[in-house]
Amino acid sequence: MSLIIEDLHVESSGREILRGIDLEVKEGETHIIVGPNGAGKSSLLYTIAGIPKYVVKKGRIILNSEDITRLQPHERVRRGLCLMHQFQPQIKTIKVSDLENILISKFGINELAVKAREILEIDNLRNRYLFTNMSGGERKRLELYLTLLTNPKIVLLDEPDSGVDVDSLVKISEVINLIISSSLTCILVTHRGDIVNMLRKVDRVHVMCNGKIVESNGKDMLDRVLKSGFRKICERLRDKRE
Amino acid sequence: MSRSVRDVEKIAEEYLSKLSSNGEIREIIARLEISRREPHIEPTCSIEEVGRAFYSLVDSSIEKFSYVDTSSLIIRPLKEIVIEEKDVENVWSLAAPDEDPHLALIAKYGDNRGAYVRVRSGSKIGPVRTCYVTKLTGTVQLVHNVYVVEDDAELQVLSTCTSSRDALDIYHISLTEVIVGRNSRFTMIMYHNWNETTKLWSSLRVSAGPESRIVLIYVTHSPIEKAYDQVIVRLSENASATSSSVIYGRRGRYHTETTTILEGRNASSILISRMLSAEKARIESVSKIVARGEGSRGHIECLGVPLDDSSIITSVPILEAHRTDVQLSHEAAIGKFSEEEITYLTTKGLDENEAMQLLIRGFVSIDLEEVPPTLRKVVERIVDELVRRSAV
Repeated sequence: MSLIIEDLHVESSGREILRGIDLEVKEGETHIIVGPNGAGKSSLLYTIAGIPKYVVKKGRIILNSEDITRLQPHERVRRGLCLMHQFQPQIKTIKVSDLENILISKFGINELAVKAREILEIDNLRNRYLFTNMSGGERKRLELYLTLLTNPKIVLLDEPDSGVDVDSLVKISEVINLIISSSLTCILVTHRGDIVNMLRKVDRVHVMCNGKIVESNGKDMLDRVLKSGFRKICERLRDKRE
Repeated sequence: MSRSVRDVEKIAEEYLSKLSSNGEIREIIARLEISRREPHIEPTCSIEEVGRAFYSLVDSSIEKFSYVDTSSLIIRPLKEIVIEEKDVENVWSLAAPDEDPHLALIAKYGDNRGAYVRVRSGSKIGPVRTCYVTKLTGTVQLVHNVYVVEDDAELQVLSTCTSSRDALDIYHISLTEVIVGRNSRFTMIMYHNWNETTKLWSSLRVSAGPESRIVLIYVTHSPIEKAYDQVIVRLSENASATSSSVIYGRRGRYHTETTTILEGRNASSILISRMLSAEKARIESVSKIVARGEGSRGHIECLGVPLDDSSIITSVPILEAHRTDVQLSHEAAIGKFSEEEITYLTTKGLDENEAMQLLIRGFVSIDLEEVPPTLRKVVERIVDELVRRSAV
């Protein structure tokens, strides 16, 4: 399943946060998006997922030749696109097993989710309430598992490596490698390079600054960017604009 | 506090005579006087629950009564117990006829219609089912039940109340007295499913002996004109009680008052109330814990979710401490489900309606760990029905 984003302009709370994004992710590719805080990385994923707070002012999101720009979030999930949230709400009244059962009845059981359940040690969390009184690692592991339960063909991963302990990071990267080797399409947003170095395959790295993709290249670029920081690249963009 | 039937009727009569200015009580008395002169023809009850119940009261007539008199259990009409003056010490032991006009009506006009259930020491009984149905317009249904659970015994009760759609302007007025012995267990599930012209007044009184365990679950989800539900539980040493109530109010007025009195040392109670309101309903929920016993503990949790802007929820948690060594706490919140929660669920493939239903189901789901499996299924079915009705 492929994803094409054309000249995407997005506002949230009356402020322009994406300023003309163009991106093409072919079926089975893994793309990494990096950039400083406030660059619009997470906003891009939320917009692709259809969260209503992010209002598309211009441009299109094309999923396998279908324009999904105006679709509701659940309609996008049912077409095979699912977001792993960076922050999850604590829902004190819904048990993990309740949501798990609903997703299984809706999307069926898929092999990848079954494997992920074991690797991410979900059985210990099933009787607890959604994301309530869970550690950072537990929350991320659970969120990744729930994302995979929707049987996605394109997975949007928003900072799966932030706020987790090393053991959880190893488990999470193991599952992301399973996603990659299952030929699913994957877009991963991260602040740091650690997780990228643990991945089996990266096809493209994009650097975002101030609501735009300013540079796209192979994995090698990431090492360079992470060593020198984002400032130089972002300043170059500002100079160009000026 | 046991009184002879003659005393009770006399006290009630004197008390009611002082209430001549109370229009509603006057109206109920007038109807009861007519029904005494012109008894109802016994209707046929067709609802499924009656078939399973050991005892069913349809309008003012006992439709079905299964007598039991074994070494472990006695089930008999309360009227017979009172006439024979046998085991009568528990009748009117937890309530007084001059305490409230509705109790006075039961004492004077109720004719002891109701069940007397006694579980013998060492026996475990359940679930027993009772069913109260109203099918005739203008009915005033008066009920008085007495349940006695002796020491080291257990009783589970499922009580269903319902009215047919065509029966208009109904009153259901009931008193249930429950006396639980030492180291015993009492579980009761009360399910109310009335129509919107019903006026309900119901009082459940429980006396819990030392080391006993009380589990009460109350669910209502039908429109009603006016409902008043009162629960008073007195707990002895090391006794504990959990009372959970779920009210999905649509139209009408709902008032619940649940009080636990922690009289004994280390007595404890948890009161949980969940309220959903819509379509101009007014729900008032008062939860109160009175801690008198040494080291007693209690917690109140009242949560309400208004589903539209036309309804009103009032939640009142009251904690009353009579000693320094007690622990009492409460948590109360009213507010709609957060956008963040709904949005999150939609990004996992649920549409907004499914997300709301899942949140409502979670909100009203009662902890059923302590409820026996057969009753658990009943509660789950009731919750399913509630969620289905609340679909937005």
